[in-house]
Amino acid sequence: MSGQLDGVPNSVFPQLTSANHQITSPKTTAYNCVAWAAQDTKNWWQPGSYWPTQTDAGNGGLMQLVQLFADLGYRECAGPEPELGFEKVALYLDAAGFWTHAARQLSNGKWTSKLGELEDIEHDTPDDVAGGAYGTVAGFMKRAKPQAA
Amino acid sequence: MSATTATNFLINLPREELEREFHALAAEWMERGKYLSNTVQIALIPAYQRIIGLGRPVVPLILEELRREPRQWFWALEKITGQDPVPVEARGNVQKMADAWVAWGQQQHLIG
Repeated sequence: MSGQLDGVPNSVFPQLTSANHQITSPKTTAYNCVAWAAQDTKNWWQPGSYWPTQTDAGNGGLMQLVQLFADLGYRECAGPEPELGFEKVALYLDAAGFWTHAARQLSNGKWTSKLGELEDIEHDTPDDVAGGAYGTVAGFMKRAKPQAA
Repeated sequence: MSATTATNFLINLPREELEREFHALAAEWMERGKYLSNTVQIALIPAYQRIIGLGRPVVPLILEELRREPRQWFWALEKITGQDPVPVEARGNVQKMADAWVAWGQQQHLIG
């Protein structure tokens, strides 16, 4: 599957262009961006429903996401540059303090995002999906890639 | 007008008007929420909160929507009904969560 997002208002993803992304999956309501960042396509990850760590279900703040990925073995890191032997996630925050999105770095150095109920896309940089509905990139986390069996 | 008065007014709407109001709000919510992943943000969209304010009369309409296409109606259903029929092992799986709510609605004779 390929192509670009269609019919999305510029205010939602003002930095996304036809040149910096491509669609990589059909639309689905089965999983969200956090699940996708954690490589799960069977669940919609949300505190209070499905979330492999203890959090306040009503909070919705960035620390929910930071704690989650810490529990998955990630630790905070400086930036988006690819690092040999590590996989990275970018975490996003809106002006109200809610976490909004998580993106995962691919082995080619690009990034992959599940856009809410819409498609998965591959995009060049974390900032490509920032600036609108997802607010800003709040930070990056990394963990050692699992060893191949 | 107070929030209580507004809610009382809405839940006394004739069935057809209630359905029109619900579907208009649902369409607005889906349009605004389709880019989002954080259910707290999704549930705080004003159209979603207004649907919750419509109260029990909209539960069958929500359940029909859930049967048509599973999505994040669970928060609204829990707030309106005070129930949560989703078994622990189904949590996170949107289709199974929807199935549990639809089965609950059928047991309650809210939908066919």
